[in-house]
Amino acid sequence: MFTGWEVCKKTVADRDDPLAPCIDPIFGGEGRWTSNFNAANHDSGQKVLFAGTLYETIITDTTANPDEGFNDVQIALDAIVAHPSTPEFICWKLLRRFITDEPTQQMVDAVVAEWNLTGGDLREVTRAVLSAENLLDPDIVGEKIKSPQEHVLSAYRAMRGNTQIAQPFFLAYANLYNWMARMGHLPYNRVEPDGYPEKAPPWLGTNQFLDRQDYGMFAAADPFAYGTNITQMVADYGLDTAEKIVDFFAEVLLGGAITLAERARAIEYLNKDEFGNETPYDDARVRDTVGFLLGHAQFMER
Amino acid sequence: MLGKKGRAMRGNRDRPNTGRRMFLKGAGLTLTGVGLSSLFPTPFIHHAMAGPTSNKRLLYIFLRGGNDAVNTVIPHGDPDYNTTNRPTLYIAPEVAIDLNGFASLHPSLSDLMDVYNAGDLAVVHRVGYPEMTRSHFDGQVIWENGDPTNPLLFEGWLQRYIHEHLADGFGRFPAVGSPNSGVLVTGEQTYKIDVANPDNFDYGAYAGSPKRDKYRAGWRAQYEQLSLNGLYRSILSETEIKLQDAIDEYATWDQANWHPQDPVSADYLYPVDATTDPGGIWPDNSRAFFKNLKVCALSLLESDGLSPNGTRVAGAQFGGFDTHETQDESGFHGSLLAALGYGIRSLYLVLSGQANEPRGYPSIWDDTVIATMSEFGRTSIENGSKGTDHGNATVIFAAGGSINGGVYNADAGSWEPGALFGDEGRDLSEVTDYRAVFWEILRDHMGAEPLAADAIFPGYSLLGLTEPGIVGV
Repeated sequence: MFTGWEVCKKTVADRDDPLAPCIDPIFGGEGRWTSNFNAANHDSGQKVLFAGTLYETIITDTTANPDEGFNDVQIALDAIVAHPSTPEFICWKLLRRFITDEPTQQMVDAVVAEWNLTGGDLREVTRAVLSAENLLDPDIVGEKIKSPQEHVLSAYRAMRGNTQIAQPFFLAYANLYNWMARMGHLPYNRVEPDGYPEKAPPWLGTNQFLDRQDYGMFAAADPFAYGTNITQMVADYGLDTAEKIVDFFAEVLLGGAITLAERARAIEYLNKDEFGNETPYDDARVRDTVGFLLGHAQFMER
Repeated sequence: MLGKKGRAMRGNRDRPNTGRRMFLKGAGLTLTGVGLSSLFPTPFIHHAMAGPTSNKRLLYIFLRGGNDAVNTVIPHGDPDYNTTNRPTLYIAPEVAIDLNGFASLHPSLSDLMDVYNAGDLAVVHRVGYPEMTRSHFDGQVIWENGDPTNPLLFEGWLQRYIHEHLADGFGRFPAVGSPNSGVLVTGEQTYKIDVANPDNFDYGAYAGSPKRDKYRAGWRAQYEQLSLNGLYRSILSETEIKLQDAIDEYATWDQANWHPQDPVSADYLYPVDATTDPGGIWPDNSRAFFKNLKVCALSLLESDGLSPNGTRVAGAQFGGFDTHETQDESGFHGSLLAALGYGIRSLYLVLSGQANEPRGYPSIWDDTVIATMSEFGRTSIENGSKGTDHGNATVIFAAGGSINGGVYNADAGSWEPGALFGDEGRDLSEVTDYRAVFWEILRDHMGAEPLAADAIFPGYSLLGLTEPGIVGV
């Protein structure tokens, strides 16, 4: 069904025509990257969807008229949309994406009800997924682990990361890219066509931990290579004691979910040098303490 | 200070039955820890309590993407394997490597012949399970979780094997995966160590400075005392502690300075860089695969029963087998198979003490089984893109000193006419269930207790599967 589809550059006028010719990506003039149907690479034989069920759909052989093969996708999508299992499947996927790795049937039913009420209006369905009940239930908070990409970028934002202030300017971009590559999560770069995992377990190996914690420490400790700006945050918010600094970053990074023991440990981290001696902290040790907090379990949770 | 993420109010919420709990209920036997063993005076538990008796190892290689079994082990004895069905992908008998007069290896797999001729390689064709899925995602999970009825279960059958036999001398790192162990060793407990970057498995920030010890100790304390009130908290806690232990142990293996060589040609068995692959023969993905295999081999060689790591299971991943387009142009599929063949031969030489290497690791070949897997085979007919699409049955290679070498399910007696299109008139039909292959390896090689079958592969004893007989008892 999907064989023969590819991406290429076409003229602006042809951008919506999957059968229009491609142009040279460099010398072909103004154009847009868009989808293209290459009939020569399409499996034009007959296909049967949902074979043997009430919803059986036959996609006819297009060998005699190869260009018609591009309709296969439309026929397949129509058949999938019409299948009665689709609403529950989509609703379950959305809940798993945004709320918890293990949505309950009750949660799914509530969203499916919205689907049925609105004829599958995805805006309203998404609104139901993001309901206050789902978002604020204390039982559900922390049931998603950040993907590597989310981990890297959320830490970066929380430290006022700005790729433009890194020195040289491309270094921060290269660093973030490399960390995501190491963690196996570059956007649109999954080798297999199944997509990146949605559930947490594949992202929770020992090596993931190593990279997540190492990244946080590097990015916090090295403002030049990463374009992070923790020192300015400390100044802007008037954080003039170890307690204020730890409490502020515990709120920003960990949503305030820090135990008394964890808080005490972080304050000690800030107040003592690497030899265990209590000495006045400097900017570098403040940055290290932020890196230390980024390695906490709470930061891995979304 | 408890903020908006505080867990004090957390209640018990019913979850779908996709977790381990379902198995526990059904099996009624599963240990949650060695300490409970005396409560269950069954033969199985007696076995589990017997202490460190087994030093058997399993090394698995997952070929991600769905390996084209028909061009890997070619059924030349089947007239349907021809240029009509495979106009560009057809491989003639003259260039393939004959195994038994019926089936032949892809020419790029010539390195496997040393192992095959030693009688230590089983080639098990037409492996699958009833109504195989054609989805990569579901298919991979099913091969890894051991339950075709539940592609949503992210708990591996090897995880359950380790869990059921924890008392049998497993050390701190029962499983090592490189770059990762996949779902096979995933579950509620952390038994695995994943080494994604073999050259860099250590914290890099402040390397060599006391500052590194400072943050390591701080994180260790945080995770050791972590509140477990959350869906993933126990995994988070266990993983961090294992990681810190593993970093120190791994450093002693010093993989970067271990370069075993072929005893005859002196070729490096792990060609991973310009020094060990001076001719630049191997592409980057092959080199990465070899490096992962090297870590797996070392993890098993370093585990001699007295070692604190006690690694019995090692796993490597090799991707790129989803050959929808131009499967054989530029030797695409052939290149992957060549790396697979060389990798298995290197393991054979290294684990059997034949390699030329200075550390003098003793042979563990008789204690080791190497097995490949892949989520499905591919269509018997070539598609319009000179490739093949998602199919059905696939092939397993199993090697080791205890393996009964030979070809299974691919000879004139077992390969019925029409087999290439025996599944929905489109794909190769399966003869042997993957669970039968791996349960046989677990029971007859790894020493798994027979009564644990249903706990490891749900419902196994009721399935009536025929095991291929690849492990010599």
